[in-house]
Amino acid sequence: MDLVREGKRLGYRIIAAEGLNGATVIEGVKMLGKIVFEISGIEEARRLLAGLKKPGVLVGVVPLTVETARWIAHDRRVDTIVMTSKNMSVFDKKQASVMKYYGKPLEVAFTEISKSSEEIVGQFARKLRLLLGKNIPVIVSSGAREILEYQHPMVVSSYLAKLLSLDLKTAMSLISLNPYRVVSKLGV
Amino acid sequence: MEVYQVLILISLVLSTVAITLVAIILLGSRGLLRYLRASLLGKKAAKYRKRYLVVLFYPPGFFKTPEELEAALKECVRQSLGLIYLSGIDPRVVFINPKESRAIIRFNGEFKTELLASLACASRLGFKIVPIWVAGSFKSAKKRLS
Repeated sequence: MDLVREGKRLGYRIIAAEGLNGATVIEGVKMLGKIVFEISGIEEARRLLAGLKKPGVLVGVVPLTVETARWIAHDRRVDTIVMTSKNMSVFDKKQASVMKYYGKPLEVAFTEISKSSEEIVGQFARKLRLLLGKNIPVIVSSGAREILEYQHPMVVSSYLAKLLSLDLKTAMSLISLNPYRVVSKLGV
Repeated sequence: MEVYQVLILISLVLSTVAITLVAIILLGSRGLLRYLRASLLGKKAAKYRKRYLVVLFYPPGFFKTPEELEAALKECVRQSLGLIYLSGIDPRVVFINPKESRAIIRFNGEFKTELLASLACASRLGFKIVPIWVAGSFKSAKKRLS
């Protein structure tokens, strides 16, 4: 509840949070459910994704192997493919072209970038530049679990603009336009 | 002087005037002067343009004095961007209201994006700085504070 209040104060209009079963409105903010899970095999992916898709719930998958990442890229039940420090090696040029072909967006948590060591941040920057260069929609979610981690949109966009050498408008689209396109597909 | 030579001369003069007018319209007379001065003499080292960032900090009442907030802010910038950017940004806390957890930070306006980007580092140090507004003067920043 505190996170919702903080999100409203920071100016966010739609928030997706884990633990919700559908779309609701809390304190004037549209809330969506979100499910994120790690998958290391195709069979596991088939089992976990069966009957998972519900209206108002976003499904994000963290593929841990290359074959899972390729398979998930064309699965319609998956809304976003999540990149973390664990599975960065999965996102290569081939994966980028598969994601581009199926129009699958990539999701990265901001806390994952900002709280990592400089080496990991560098790797994130290289991968994100590669994917942005291929015109893949990239979504930067807050990834916040407490109020301290919840950053203002201007802070996030400025950080991304500096890190990825983007202009502020493009950096802002990673936290506004691209997520909105995914959310609008859910009919919210 | 032949007629065609006169005509060429007139066309040259008119085209020069037209190019100058277009340049003035596109850059503005001041902009054109500045551009010519910069291209001929090089960029002049000038005093930076000050900007005022109105912020709100969390947890409430975490900073009691401007010195505390300034030190924390400088640590943030130093950790995320380094010493050269810190000297360029030159952040100074000019006003603080510990009761409402609000403050005004004066900084070099050229480095607005850098300062905002460095605020992301604050959560590592156990606090959060939320930008509210960037103002051109202390007076207008004070208005935004309330």
